[in-house]
Amino acid sequence: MMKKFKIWDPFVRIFHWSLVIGFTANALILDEEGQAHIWVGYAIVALIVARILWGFVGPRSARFAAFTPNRKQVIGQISDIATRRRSTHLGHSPLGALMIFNIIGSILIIGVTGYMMTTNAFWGVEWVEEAHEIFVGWAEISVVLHIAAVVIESLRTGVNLPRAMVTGVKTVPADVILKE
Amino acid sequence: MKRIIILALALSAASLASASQTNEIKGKPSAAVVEQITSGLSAEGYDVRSVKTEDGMYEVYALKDGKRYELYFGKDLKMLDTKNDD
Amino acid sequence: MIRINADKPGLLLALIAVQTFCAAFFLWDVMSDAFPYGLSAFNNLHLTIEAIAAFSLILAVLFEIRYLMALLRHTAHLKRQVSLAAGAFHEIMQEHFRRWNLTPAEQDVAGFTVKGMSITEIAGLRGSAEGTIKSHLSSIYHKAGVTGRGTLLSLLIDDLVETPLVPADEERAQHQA
Repeated sequence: MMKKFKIWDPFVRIFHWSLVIGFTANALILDEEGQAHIWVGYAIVALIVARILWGFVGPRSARFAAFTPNRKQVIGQISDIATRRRSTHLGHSPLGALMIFNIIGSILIIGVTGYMMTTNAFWGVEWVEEAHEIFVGWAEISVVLHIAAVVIESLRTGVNLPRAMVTGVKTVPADVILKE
Repeated sequence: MKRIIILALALSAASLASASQTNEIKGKPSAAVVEQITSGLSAEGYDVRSVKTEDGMYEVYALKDGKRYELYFGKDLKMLDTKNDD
Repeated sequence: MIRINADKPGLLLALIAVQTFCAAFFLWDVMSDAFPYGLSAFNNLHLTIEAIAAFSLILAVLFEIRYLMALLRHTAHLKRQVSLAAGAFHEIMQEHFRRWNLTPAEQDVAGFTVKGMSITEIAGLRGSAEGTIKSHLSSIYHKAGVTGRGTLLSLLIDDLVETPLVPADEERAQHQA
C-alpha cells in the first residue's frame, strides 16, 4: 500500500534536468575553447541564479528554509542508515540538501571563474584557470556521488527518487517513517 | 572493501597507461624557455600573462593594446599561430 | 573494549567532509600532472609519493566512514548521563551482539526488544513491516542460542551479575585510599 505526495513544482524539475544537460554538455561534450562552451556556461549561471531566487519565493518544497538541515538532522539521517531504519523526507533529505548546496556553490564558482577568464584583468592568470578546473573536477565527483546516493537511497527506502524529480510525485511505501 | 581499493587502483593505472608517450613538447615549459619567450614578446609590447604547453606547442596568454591574445610557438621558439580572443 | 566517546560524531563528519575534498583535489592534481607522461610519470619520486598520499587519504576517509557508522549504531540505544549500571549493561549487550555477528538491522531490533518493546512498536520505529521484525527476532534468537526474549534477557543479566562494574584493582585502591 503506497502513499503518494505531490512534492516538486515544475520549475524545480525543469531546473534540475536543464542543469544536468548543461553541465554534461560543458564538462564532457563541448570544446572548452569554443564559443558554445561560454554561452552554455552563462545559461547555467542564469539557471542557478533563478533557482536561488526561487528558493526564497517558491513553494514550500523549493524553499531553502524548508530543507536547510541542522547538525542533529544530518546525524539523524546517517544514524538511520547505520541502523538500517527506513525513513524518508518529503522534500530534500538533510544529506541531499547538503549535496545541493555543494553543487550550487561549486557551479557558481565554476561560472564566475569561467567569466573571469574572459576578462582583460584575469586573462592568462593561472589561479583563475586552476580554480575553474579544480571545481569542475570537484563538481564531477560530487555528481557521481549524488547519482550513487540517489540510487542507494531509492533502493533503501523504496521511494523512486529520480522518478519523483520527473513527475513531481513521491510514492512512499506504507511502513516507511515520514520525517517532517 | 579490499575489492573497492583494488578496483580503484586498477582503473587509475589503466587510464594513466593509455596516455600518450610521444617525444613532443609537453609538461611544464622550462624556466629558460619561459624567460626567452617572455622577454621576446615584452620587447614587442606584449604583457605576457602565462606560458604553458598545449597540443605539442608552447601556448602563451598575453595582452597588447587592450586586446587578449593566445600565441603559439614551436620547439625552435618560432611563432606558429596567433588567436585574438575578442 | 573501546570506550567510545559518542559526543562528537559531528566533528568526525566534518573531518570526513574536509578530507574528501582534499583527497579529490590531490587525486585531480596527481592525475593531471601524470597524464601527459603515462605510466612513466611514476619514475618521478615526487609524483609517486603524492599519488600514495592521495590514495591513503581516500582509504582513510573510507575507514572513517565505517567507524562513524559503527559509532552511530553503538550509541543508537544509549541515553546520555546513564548510571554506571545502565552503562555497563549497554556495553555487555553491545559486546554480545558483536560476538553473535548480528547484522546492523538485527542489532537495532535486539536493542529495542531488550528494552521491552512490542513487535508493533519496533516496526513503527524502524519503518518496517511486522513480518520483517519477526524474522529479525527469529534470526537473533537463533544466533544467540536462546529460545525467546525471556532467555535473551536472562543471558544478558547473568553476564551483568558476574562482571564487576568497577574492575577489581581499582576497588582495592579505593579501599586503601
